[in-house]
Amino acid sequence: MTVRIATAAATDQLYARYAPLVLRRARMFVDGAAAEDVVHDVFIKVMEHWEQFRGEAQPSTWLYRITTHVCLNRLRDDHRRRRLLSENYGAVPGVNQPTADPAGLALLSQLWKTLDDDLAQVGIYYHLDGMTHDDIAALLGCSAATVRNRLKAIEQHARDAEEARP
Amino acid sequence: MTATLHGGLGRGGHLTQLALEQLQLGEPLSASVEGHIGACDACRQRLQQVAQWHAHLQVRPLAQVVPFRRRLATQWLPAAGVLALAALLLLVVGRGPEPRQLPVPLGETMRSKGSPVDFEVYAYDGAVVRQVFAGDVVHPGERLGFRLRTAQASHVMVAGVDSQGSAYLCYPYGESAQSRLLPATPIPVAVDDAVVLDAVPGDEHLVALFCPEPFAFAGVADKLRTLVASRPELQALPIVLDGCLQRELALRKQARSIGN
Repeated sequence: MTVRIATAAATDQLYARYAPLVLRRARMFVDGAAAEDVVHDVFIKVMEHWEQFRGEAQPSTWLYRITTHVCLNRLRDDHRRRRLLSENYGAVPGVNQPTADPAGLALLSQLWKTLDDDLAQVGIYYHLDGMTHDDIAALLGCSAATVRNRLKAIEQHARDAEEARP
Repeated sequence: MTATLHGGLGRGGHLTQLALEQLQLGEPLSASVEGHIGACDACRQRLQQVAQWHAHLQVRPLAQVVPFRRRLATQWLPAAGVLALAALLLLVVGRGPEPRQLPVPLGETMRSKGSPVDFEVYAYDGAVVRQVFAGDVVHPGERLGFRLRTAQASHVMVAGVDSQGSAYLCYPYGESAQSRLLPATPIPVAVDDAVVLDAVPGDEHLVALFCPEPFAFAGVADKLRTLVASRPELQALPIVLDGCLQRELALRKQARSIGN
């Protein structure tokens, strides 16, 4: 009981501090009401994985990653994946994203239905967020070489899809 | 696993969205990020948008959820964060006289180049968040949020005093009524607490204090009351606490007129 109370209090603080970050990120993928649902889902995950989360030096990176993951799953689940990026990108009011890579986004939007989660996440961070290999690696907890390999896999996926077209 | 980003600069040379969020939150980032934000107008503009977004969300849901805190706190933990924010609200109560004009605006801005500290105040009227400056008019029911910056880690507090000399604590709000340690930040960061303006017109003087040692609100409140009582034509507050840096802002609170 004591642990639960302590966790709730800590979650209060996290929510107050980081909910704007989570909601802002979510609104890059889904619309207003759905974005608020994403915020709730993310903080439920925080509580479910509290011991892991508590060890994070920067909760913002963990929450950014989890929010991206929840959004991608949500888009897959509700048959709106084809709208990813092409329609929802830039939906945050008044925000421009000079880090985005239009060609990469087009590539992702074509491949979206068939990419697995690991590849999709790397693609989002690289082409939408414009992150470097090192920063993506730090965010995902893998090596920069793994990031490079996943980006190559996305390109290979694109070539395969092109060759398979009638 | 500890995730700490190496750079925060994207491949195009601008700050990533995550880096902007971390800057807004006052989290440590690389020197290259701090250097970039000082030199890039586009990224500073994006950062300002992030700051407004945070300020908007920090004040928006408060009033509606206050009565439900006890019932929901054990049932819906994600909402507990919103509820905690609500518990931090301070309803500024006071019964002041008729409004009087401020003789002289107190400092055109709370932010000056090279200053060791900054104090910014934002007002939210239910639709728009705007930064307010000395002498600006605010209205009953509006919520005020705050952003602070200090070049050196400092014990900080934001307090206010109305025209009748009633002092109130804005940040950090809580039973302990003690200052809170704020780490050095390259830009002003939003603090968690907000205040709601009451319906009584009058001047509101807000003071941000940056001190090398912890201090209590009780001493600040006594000093503010004394200062206001002894200076009916208040133009600027003298130093409230010796040895501390101080920034202040005086606002004129007026009832909304029809059509305003």
